[in-house]
Amino acid sequence: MERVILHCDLNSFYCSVEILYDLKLKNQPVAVCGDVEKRHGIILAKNDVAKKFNIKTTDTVYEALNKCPNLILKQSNLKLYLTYSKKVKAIYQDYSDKIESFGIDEAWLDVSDCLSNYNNAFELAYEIKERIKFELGLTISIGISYNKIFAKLGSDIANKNEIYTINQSDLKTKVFPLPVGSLLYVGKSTEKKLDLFNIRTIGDLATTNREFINKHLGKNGDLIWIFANGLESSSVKKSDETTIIKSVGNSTTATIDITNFEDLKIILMPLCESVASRLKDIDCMANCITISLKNSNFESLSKQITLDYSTDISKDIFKVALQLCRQSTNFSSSIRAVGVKCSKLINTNNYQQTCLFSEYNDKDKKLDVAIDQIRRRFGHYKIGLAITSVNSELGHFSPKDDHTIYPTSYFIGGSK
Amino acid sequence: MNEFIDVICFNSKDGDIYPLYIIWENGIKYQIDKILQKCPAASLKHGGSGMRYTCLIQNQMRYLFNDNNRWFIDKI
Repeated sequence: MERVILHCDLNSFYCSVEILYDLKLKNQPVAVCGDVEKRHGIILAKNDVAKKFNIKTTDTVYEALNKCPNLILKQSNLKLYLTYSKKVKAIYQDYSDKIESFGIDEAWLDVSDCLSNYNNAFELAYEIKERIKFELGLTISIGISYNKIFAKLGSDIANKNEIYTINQSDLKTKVFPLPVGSLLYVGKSTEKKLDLFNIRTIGDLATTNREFINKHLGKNGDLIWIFANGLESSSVKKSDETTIIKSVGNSTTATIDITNFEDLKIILMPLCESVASRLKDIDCMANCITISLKNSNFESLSKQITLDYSTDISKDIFKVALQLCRQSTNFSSSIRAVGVKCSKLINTNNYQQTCLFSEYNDKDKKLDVAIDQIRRRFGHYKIGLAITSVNSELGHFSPKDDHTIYPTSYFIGGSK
Repeated sequence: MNEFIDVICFNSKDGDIYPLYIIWENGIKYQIDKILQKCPAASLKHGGSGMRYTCLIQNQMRYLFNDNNRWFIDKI
């Protein structure tokens, strides 16, 4: 039996929630942005009126205001958006247990099993759309298809508050004429490469020899060829399935540009503490530590090191991260953003292989655990390392609590 | 943004909440004579969303919303 998969995409999600709570903004240009004072001032979402002024997500607030001086800026309220995201997912759960989130505002639903109650998939999708509109006041675009890629494509094509269906028989008429860039995982750089071979539409890609694409674009090329031909067959993950975590990381944009190692230490410490604490939460230790730095010209660099031991101790991670930073920068240009990531995780399940030749420092781990316990009970800022108080403007942040949205990859769904 | 109001409720042992009285801005307490319907809904007049109670108050029908444990009235 042909599968029926819906891809539901909430329209201008952050903005729609803000407008829901201030209906006067409905016909005015509105954008949601990060905290300008903390230098997180980029546009995160905008409504249709703002789109007419060519305001784009990731524009800086300054750029956006230049394009539209009357733009109404709302500071993002992540807690509220997460509440609404949960409410939307609860509605999806009335229709299927196979719900795979793709970010905070998008999800795939495999509704093949509950179609018997409806005349067709469109009727079911319409009911979901109307329920979300009535119960939550939000609009949604839905793509209906037989695989996840075309369902996503459908929701991208669909206008605001509309449903778009792509059946297997529609492949040549509806999908093939579309620009190749509209396919998931065909970004600007892949599009440029494909353009060199005169591949401009999905149809061009689908009818090109698979080996040719594979040869020039590698593994990713093979993947997008499969997507273009509608051969993608990965299943929609069940909502209660847990994913295997491959890495744990935190990053932040500093409130002021960092020009020396002392300041860098202040910002690095909370990041390392957060990563170590999250590693302990999932009973994992890491073998590989990566740091990423972004300078004031928005140029990024990252450096990683594989350790000959595993760790989940903040002090260890900090030492290694600082060493990597010393190798990576001499502050010829000031640092704007810093990130720390631990990967090559091993599950400890409360057991651990101690290092054969160097001593495992139990004391530091006990200290970490004690700090975590105090923070859990009394709040993050009740206890902290003195280094973070040297410059409270830089060190006063809690990456673990502040960072609640995890980037989603299509591949987590078990397709590759 | 909505203006919220005080509401006196009955919390049943099953975990359901039934509003009994609303206290208007002027401090006057009005009895809710009957709850005609209860369903999740968005407020189209004042904004927000939550559990919507269609209430009969002194022969007037009004929507009473519970949005995350805060209450507001929407005209029908």
